[in-house]
Amino acid sequence: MAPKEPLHIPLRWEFVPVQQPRTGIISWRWRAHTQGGRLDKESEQLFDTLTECMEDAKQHGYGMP
Amino acid sequence: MDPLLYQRMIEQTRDYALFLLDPSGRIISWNLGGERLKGYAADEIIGRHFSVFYTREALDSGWPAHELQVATVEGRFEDEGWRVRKDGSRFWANVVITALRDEEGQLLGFSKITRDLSERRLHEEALRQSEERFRLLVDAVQDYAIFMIDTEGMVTSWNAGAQRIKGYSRDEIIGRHFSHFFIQEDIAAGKPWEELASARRSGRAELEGWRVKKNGERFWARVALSGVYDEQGHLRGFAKVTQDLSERRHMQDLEKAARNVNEFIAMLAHELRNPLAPIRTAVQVIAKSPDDPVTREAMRQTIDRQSAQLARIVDDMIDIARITKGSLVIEHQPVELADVVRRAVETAAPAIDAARHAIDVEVPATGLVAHGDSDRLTQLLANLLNNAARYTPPGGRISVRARREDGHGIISVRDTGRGIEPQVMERIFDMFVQGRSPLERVGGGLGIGLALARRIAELHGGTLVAKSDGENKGSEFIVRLPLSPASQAPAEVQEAVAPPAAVPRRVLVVDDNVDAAATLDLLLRSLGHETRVAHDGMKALDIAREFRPEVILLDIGMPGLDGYEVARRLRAMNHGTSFRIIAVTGWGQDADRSKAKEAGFDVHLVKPVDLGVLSQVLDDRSGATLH
Repeated sequence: MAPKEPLHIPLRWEFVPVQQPRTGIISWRWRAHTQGGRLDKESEQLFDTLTECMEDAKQHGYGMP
Repeated sequence: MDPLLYQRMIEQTRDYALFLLDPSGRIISWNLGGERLKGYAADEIIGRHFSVFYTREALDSGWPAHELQVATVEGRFEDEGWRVRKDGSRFWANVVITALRDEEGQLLGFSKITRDLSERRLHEEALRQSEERFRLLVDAVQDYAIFMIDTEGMVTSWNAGAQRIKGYSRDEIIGRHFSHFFIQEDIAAGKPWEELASARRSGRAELEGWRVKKNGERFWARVALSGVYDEQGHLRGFAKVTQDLSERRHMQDLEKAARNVNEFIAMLAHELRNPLAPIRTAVQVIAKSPDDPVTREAMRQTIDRQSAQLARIVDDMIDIARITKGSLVIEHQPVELADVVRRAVETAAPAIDAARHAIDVEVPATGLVAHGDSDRLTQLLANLLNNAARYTPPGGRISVRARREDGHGIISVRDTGRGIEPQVMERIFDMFVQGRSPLERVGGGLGIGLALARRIAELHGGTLVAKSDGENKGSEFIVRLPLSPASQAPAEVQEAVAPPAAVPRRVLVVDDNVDAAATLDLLLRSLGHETRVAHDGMKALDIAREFRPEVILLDIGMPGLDGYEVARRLRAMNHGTSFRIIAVTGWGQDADRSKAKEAGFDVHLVKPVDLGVLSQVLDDRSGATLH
């Protein structure tokens, strides 16, 4: 999902494990919330590990000034 | 009344000497009691002056005449004192002399009643002596402070033990309030008065706690306070006995430390076995399937992960040594706390991932700049996150938040885990203490994480505290760090970069461990370097003369010539080519690095050497050192 508007810092970045119903495998996704608590954007795909998920979040502004 | 009967009552009274004196003091009557008490028969004493019953000292002071004079003037005189029997022996007497007058007031003489109080006197003397002995005993006791306080808590007596233990002399403390012996926190909490109230209610109070000496030094004391009552049952004060238990407490602390160390060793053995077992298995698997690239790659990854875990354990142990010696030092650079949080979350990601916890990160991207050590602060926060991951049941939530408050950066790590029981809230910051049974030993642990985290916070002038609403209600750890006055973002952080391609070099590997030398040799060759290997110092010197290496990777702990000596001899050899000597050793203490530098080493790398660092060192043309 593309950003809808410029993000306002500080933000809340959320990294959430998601279990596939059929296989039971855990994947990860990220979400970024505005200061007001509204979901601003989220990852477009699921990741096998939290580390990969964070790497992707960085591409979208996580940890960036 | 029949006068004869009255006369016989007087004459036959045995327990009192009842007799009459004329106005001048001569005895004019006598009774059986007089004969019994004083030993004179009536015909021996009648007509003699009553001063015959007095001691030499009393006669010299004119006491008999004084008695008659007082009785004449006041009508009556009463006294207690020594009197003398006919045989010269003394007895303690109570004497009442009454003036006898006629109707016109004319003095007719005196009646004198004497009672023998020798027995009571003996009792009183025995009691006095007993009390004196007891007082001397109490006074002489050195091991206990024994003293009295009145009902308001003012000190009224003091023994030698009290002086020894508390440091006050008798003159300094008598009349002062006993709250002087309490520490400030207890005074503020009203404990001295609580203690008095408790002893008033139950007649006794017994407790242990910190007390303070005159010089301000604290000691751990056992105190017994007992009410002292008079014959009517009224409270007159309290007897207080204080024993200095500092030594016993010190012994208990030592025993506790020994227990903790024993538990630590057991835990360490367990933590070392965990990664060692899969490494050994992986080696066996590779041995059985040497030609299967898939299996070999999987085993390589296993060994890589587990050896990294072993390296972390060794790092923890080095930190333990530093904390114990008080030599944990930090760098002082501007540190952006947002960056610290990001790195710490990445460090703890495997533990969070394994337990499937969701994690929230809410941190201002810039503007929280502390002055300190970025690596250590990251370690602090990563410890808190790893702890949260470990003590939260799978599928929990961890929240990291940072904000500014009164010139401080506040970072909190909150989890939805098992929480902390109030009674262990402070103990969790002790070394080697872990929860009762971690739900899952994610990444293991030596029980020093929180102790180290708090120490790092303190070295930055900050604090680390824990909060929990109780069991299964989650925990929150709050780090408070002073921010730099300007609190501006630091210079752009240089991101870690992958090691560049190696510049081929001539490298001599020296290690008495054949396996270690062989693997390092293989690694260097795979990077494109030309290598030679030596397993002892003399061989290394021989090869160096011929091979003329640009870089020498030299182990320090070797039999025969150790690494230091080899380095000195290499430096002494002048073969016309510049070379760098790199220590590759298990000894990572600061002192070891200094010693290596003195011996001529350019760089000090601690085993196991990170590939990236090794490549960087081998490729470094500047000659910069990594000591």
